[in-house]
Amino acid sequence: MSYAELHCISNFTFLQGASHPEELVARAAVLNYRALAITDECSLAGVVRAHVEAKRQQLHLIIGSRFRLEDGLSFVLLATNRKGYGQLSTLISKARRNADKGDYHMTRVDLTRHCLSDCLALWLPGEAQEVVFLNELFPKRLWIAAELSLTGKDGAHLEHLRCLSQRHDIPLTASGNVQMHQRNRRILHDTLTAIRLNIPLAQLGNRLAANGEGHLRSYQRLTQIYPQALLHETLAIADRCTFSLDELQYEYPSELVPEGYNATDWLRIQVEAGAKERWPQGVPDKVRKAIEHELALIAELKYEPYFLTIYDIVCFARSQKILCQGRGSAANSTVCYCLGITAVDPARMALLFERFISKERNEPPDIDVDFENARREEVIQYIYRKYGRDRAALVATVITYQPRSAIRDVGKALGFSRVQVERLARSTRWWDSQVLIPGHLAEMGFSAESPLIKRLITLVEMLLGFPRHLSQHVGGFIISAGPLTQLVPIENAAMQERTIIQWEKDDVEALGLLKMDVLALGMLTALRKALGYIGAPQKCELSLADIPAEDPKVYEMISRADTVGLFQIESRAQMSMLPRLRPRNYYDLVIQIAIVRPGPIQGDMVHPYLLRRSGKAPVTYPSEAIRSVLERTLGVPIFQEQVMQIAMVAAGFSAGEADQLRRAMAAWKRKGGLEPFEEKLHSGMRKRGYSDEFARQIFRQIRGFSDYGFPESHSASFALLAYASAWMKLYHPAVFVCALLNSQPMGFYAPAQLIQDAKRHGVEVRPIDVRFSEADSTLEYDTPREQSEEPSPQPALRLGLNMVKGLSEEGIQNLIDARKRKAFVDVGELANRAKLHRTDLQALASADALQGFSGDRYRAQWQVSGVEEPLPLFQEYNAESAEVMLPKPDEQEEIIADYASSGVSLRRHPVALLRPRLNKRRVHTAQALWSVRNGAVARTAGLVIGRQRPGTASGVIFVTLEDETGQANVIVWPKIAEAQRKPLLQSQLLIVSGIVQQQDGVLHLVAGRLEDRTDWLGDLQTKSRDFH
Amino acid sequence: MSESAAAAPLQHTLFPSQSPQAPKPSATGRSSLWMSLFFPRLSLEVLDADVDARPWAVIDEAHGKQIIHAASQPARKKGVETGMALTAAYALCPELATEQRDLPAEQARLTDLADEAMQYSSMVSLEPQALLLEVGASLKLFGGLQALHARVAGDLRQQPYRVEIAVAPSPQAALLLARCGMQACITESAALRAELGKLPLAVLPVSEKQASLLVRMGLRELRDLWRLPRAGLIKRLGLEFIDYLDRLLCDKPELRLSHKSAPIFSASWHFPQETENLTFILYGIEQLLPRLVHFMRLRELALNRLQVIFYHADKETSCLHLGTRQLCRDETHLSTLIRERFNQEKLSAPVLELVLLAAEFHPAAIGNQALFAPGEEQDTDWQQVLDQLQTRLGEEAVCHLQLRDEHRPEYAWAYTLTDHAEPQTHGLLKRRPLWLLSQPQRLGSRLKEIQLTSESERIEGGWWDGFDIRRDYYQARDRHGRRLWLFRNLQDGAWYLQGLFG
Repeated sequence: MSYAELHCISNFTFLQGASHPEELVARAAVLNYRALAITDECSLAGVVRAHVEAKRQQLHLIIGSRFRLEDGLSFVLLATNRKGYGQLSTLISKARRNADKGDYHMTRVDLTRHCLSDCLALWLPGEAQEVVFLNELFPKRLWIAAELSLTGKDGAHLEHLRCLSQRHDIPLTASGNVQMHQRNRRILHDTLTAIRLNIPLAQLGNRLAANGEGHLRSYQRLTQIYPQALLHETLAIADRCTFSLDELQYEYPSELVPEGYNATDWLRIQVEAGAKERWPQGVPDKVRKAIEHELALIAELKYEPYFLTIYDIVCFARSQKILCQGRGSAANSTVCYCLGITAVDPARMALLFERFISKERNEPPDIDVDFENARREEVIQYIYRKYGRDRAALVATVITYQPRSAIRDVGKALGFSRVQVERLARSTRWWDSQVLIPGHLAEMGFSAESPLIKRLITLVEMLLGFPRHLSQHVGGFIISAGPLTQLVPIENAAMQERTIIQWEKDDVEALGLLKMDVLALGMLTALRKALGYIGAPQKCELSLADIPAEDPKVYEMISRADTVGLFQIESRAQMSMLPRLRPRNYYDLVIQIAIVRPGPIQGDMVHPYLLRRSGKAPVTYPSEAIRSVLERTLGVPIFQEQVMQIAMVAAGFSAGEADQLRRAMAAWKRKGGLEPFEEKLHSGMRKRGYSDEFARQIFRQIRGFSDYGFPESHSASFALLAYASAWMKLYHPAVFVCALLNSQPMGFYAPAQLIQDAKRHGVEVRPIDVRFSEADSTLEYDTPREQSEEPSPQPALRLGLNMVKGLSEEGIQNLIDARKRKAFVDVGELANRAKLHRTDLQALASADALQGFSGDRYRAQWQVSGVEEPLPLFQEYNAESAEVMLPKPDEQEEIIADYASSGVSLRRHPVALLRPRLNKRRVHTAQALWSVRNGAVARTAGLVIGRQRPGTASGVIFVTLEDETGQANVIVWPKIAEAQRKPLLQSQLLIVSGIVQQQDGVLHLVAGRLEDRTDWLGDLQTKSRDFH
Repeated sequence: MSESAAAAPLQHTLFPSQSPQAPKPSATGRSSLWMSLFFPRLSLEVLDADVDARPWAVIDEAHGKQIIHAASQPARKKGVETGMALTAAYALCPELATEQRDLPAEQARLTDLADEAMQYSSMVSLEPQALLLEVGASLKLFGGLQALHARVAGDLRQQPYRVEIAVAPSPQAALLLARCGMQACITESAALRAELGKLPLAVLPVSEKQASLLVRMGLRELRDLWRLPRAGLIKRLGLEFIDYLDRLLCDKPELRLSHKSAPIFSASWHFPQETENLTFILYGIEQLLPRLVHFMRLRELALNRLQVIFYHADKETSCLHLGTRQLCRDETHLSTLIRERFNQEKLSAPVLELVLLAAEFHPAAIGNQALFAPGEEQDTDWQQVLDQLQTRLGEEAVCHLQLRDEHRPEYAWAYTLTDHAEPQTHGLLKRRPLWLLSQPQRLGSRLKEIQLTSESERIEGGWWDGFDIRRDYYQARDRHGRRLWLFRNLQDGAWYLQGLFG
């Protein structure tokens, strides 16, 4: 005797279901249910998770969905087979596409137009005559759902349904209207109701469920409530639903192979052609062997269409001159190198292709392709065009409750005031990732002991990780051979012209479907622009491949930590590591990029690696097996792949298990669930004779990777771009900064810092000027360039009009067009001819871009703000008497106005003005700190340009100061930070006294006393990038 | 036996500028002089808290963002400043206590202060966070500006408010100086330019756009404006701005609306000799009532609170409070109410004099009712009966039984005072007894004699307020045939009796 639950929603019916799909499945298995249907409302978003869990629990999972039509008619549909699943998925897509994001809309007419021949229906009783309509649609496939939840009138209700059943000859079945896996989720269920209706719990009254019976009840309990026959009927229905998600067969798009070829041949032809290009003198034997091996593997696993799909997209990008680069495990294969998907020559890497496409795991290869961020949309629209909206869609991202949002929503439901809720939410603000720490609560005047706060904490913990809505993934595409809706429902995204599927990345992966990431990368935009600038004078086109590889001078610069603006290695943490690691070649750079990450840091891998590298510690391996894995990183695990391999060679994980571990790693922060792996890792390693300490270290690193798993395969691609950007900065500093400025926003530093850095590197920077500036920043070559072979002199950088705050794009365009016709002679003529609005003119005046005409910016401002608006047609700009009694700006005022109007000043650094005052207080410049003895006390001052609190450094805050000589790095320990919170957080100009620490070419000032001297700056508005 | 003077000013609105003592700035022949009292901490001071004992801030909303409106001294020490975003303030001072700005309370305090300030000047106007007094006309009375200033400052020192006082020949200048905390006392308009010139432009009440334009033209202080051509300024900053400057500098006169005290009705009746005789007393009251009603008619007002104050020998007083359910200005109804009350209460001592006092009035809606509205008529009758009942038994004695939207039986109904909204009894409880025990009674051995007659109804809820219940309810019959309402408590497994069906 058993039972099958046929009406059960998970928390993917957002703000209604109070349990995760996995929890429901696991509970149903514990209760020995024969089957469980997950029937989220017009959604299949949770079914893959349920499916994965059901396979583990060996539970019969039924895929279904619940609907409520416009007129109130409610029913559940269950898929009996693959065809029925496709019908259900298509119906959901239709209803979802008919409504705004997050909603659905369906009428009886819609329903009748839709074929649902292979679905079963349960009528959720409402008006009695509804059943007649459904009975016509689902002859012999309709049941009346009897849902009894101890209302006190269950008997009468059942009697009523019996009558209907007899009158229409429709069978009755039991079902539970389940919304949670266990009774104890009742409080969360009530809270979700409050959140959904946006009404505090205390005022909800009868809108709350009367009791918590909507959970998975034991069979014994059910027999007390339902007649045996009704319970039995559920089994009959369940038996008819044989569909499993495993049956979904993914078919790759076929149009990529021309008539007369098969996919294998076609891929080979493309690879051969590419190989000829890469190795014009003939393909080396080693490479030839690799190609053959890879092609054989690809053919065996039938992955040709996947590689061809990506190849096609990359070809499109190349034809449009959109810079792109692949990364990810399969991207670093020889095949991808030949196809031009990546520029990483596999010969430079120790990577083995097979390690990433594994036969036994039978999962699709993973290739992400980065495109220039500004032009990625063109690629996306190409994909939609090529495959059609019914075959291509973006993968969803499930937005889940985070501490702040959970506190906000629960707090509101419990009746906290708006201000209280905001404070509680902000309490997770900075030192800790933990939620609602008693100490913080007390500081804010909340007692952690009060029952209200206790309820809040309990509920917030329950709610964390609950899905809230679906959003679009940054660039994950799924493309299929036939209509995608046969596979998964499609719904509208918030963005116009975008559609998403109801599954997220992990779901797609779990079902082994093809997915590729079309991502955006700002640095690619900058590099493409830089290559264009260099090539422009010669009218030639350069590509990344034209950048000479392995230039020692480039590595020298990187080792000096002279990396402002570079890709991936410009952050404070990276900069402090560079002089210690001193990368000398490409692979060092790959390590450098991966090592300054939470994984290696939390696993205590950084220090040992540095010691071994500098020869201060011997390179040893716990075993020969591990030597094979770790040799290239001197015996220290640094990459995600290495950790997985150690799990395999040292702890006996199978490839499949290692892959599960990888998934669990990625999801650990959200869901937990690493514990079983921890146990297995420890016991496995102990059995093979490794120390517990080593096992613990490996496990810590596994946990660290969950924050930001960084695989070697990605680092390898990033290192190429890091090197390219470094080469550009070294040999073409003006070009490089110009490209960066024109690709904003990106990177770690604001334009002002990029320009300061460029000036320190000898680039001449010229101000924004309406007579010369283009919309973007430009390069100005003063001497006419000869056709000689001489290296050309560095051009000067002319700042662009788009840096002027408040200047409209239309204004910029008008101005440039008018100037092209004839150069301007004065402000009046400019205003007249360019038809600029007064606000545009004022913005130009503020930015001192009119200095060529009006003298100082104050006079320019007076002049332009007198312009009548709108300018009368044909009427000459009517000049007032030009001389007015306005003050003259002094240098400090000019600097302040520069920052306010464009964020950049080419005058002296603001701190330089204060130098006499600072000298009196014996404040060192950033430069002069280097001459201070290590360990001595010193004082420095500067504009605060960044505050950072790395998640890895227990409460330490890094502050970056900038003065006219450069940047100084300040370390603030938590105690100091807590005690001097005000100057730390508020200062724009900060004087720091502390102890100088110099080591391996890195200098830190460990803060003792912080002094806020922002008042010295007057009205200067500087910007700091805080806590990213 | 006369209406108090306090009620008089309201008549000005009916017969404007009839009053001989109303000051006419231009007519006095003497240029007016303005004193501004600015209360910088008013929003904190209206709070019911010792704001300087710990960091406190009053917050306001601007552009949908919570910002600090005012911060107490300890908060300012931590860096919390006016205009700062609330989140930024918390970052600096996590223990900051906050309260939303209470504008009505501030306005009420300001009104009180204005009432008091009427003693220094007949022309007092309410400004944002400040009062403005025309003191030119008061100088003679108070013996000169210095004496008046000292008097005002002295009186205000008795109050728990911080105040900035400034005097200037124009209202705007006085306000501006007080706001800047300049304890200035300027009497000659010729001196205004020089004195105001030192102020930073940032203090001017201009739009953000104007403010930024001023900065962008390099202008810092008011005196920078004096040097610029008037026509050019008008073109750039608008006529309104120049008009403001003119008023600031006394180049253009400005009138303010004077504050008026709230209407109060107070009328007294002297008895020729001490009396305890109700007939006499009621007669006295009935002589005053028509005047009260007339007072309300004139002003389109009605009342729901009324006091009768009795003066006895030896300066003893006693007081009778009356209330009506609905706004009222009906003489007969009031009279009936008072009579009812005297049937209940005894005078504490013989009465020398009585005063009829009404201080709370509301705009009247009476007389706008439809002519034929029998339902309402009846309703009004019913209201009057209720009034009488309440007058007789006391307000708390008459309650409605009100149903509440709630699963838990104990919370599903409540007594409410009758002056609250309409009683809600529609949707009367199904399957619920009308008689609930005040406390569920635990059933011990008696359980055996009881027979359950219904299926169970499970009710779970209330965890959010700490009164969580989990119960299975049943109807049952005991051996006497009484119909009971029982539940089994799922938390302790015991049975309880909750109610009886009629």
